[in-house]
Amino acid sequence: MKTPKERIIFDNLSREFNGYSREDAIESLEEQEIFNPSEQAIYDELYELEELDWLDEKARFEEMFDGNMFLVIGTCGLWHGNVAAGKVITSWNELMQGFKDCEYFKFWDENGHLFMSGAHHDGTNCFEIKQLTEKGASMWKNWEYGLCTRKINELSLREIHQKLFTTNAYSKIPHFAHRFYGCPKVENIYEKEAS
Amino acid sequence: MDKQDLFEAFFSVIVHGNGKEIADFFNEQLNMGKKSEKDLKFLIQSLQLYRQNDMVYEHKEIFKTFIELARKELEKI
Repeated sequence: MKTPKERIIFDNLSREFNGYSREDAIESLEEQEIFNPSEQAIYDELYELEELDWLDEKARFEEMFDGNMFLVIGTCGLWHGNVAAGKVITSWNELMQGFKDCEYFKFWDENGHLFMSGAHHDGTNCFEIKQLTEKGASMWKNWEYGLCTRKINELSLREIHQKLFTTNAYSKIPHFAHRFYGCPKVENIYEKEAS
Repeated sequence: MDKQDLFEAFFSVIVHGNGKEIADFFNEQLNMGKKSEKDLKFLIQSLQLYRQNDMVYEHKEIFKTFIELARKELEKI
């Protein structure tokens, strides 16, 4: 049995400080010639290391967006349960508007598919992000202005999102881990099936 | 109430309110027959922006309905 390997891009949701340990913080401080640091200094350094990673990934996402159109589809966790959600975006800021109440995030890549989760006090938002192709972006703009065929124009927002998301001609997976980290496009974990 | 306060209030009621609370809030905001043209235009613009930013399909529908109501109120003036 094979499952796609989670290539973690950033994660302070399921692990503290994006995976940095006390030892990492102490080592980082020693590189700055700060020895025998206080507990407060260690925690400050952990926050600093996490923040630096966040800014690095933000810059990579901004490079990925670069004027291109993306579609995010998934669910938002509200007080009464998970509800369907989606949005066409062209920038990091637009992406983060949908996560404005979130404090903890996880971004990861599975064989080129890009996912993100964000946790807030009512629940967790989970989304997949795909890039619209030229054809997909054109269809989206035409749908917004009612310029598609009658059949397409009559689709609801959710339906047009689904159409764009599930049709290869209209959207493609971003291959974030391959593009920015040089990871293989496909990476699976193989487990022996119980006999 | 400035734009930011209005957004916060919308966000709070949309995310945390039940159907009746949402309807009450919107009716209060519309305050049928008592809003000026300027107030209603501001409300419609704010709602359009919020509808654009919200990712939840259900919420977008609520905003759409409310925008239509506000437009009808505007037509009466």
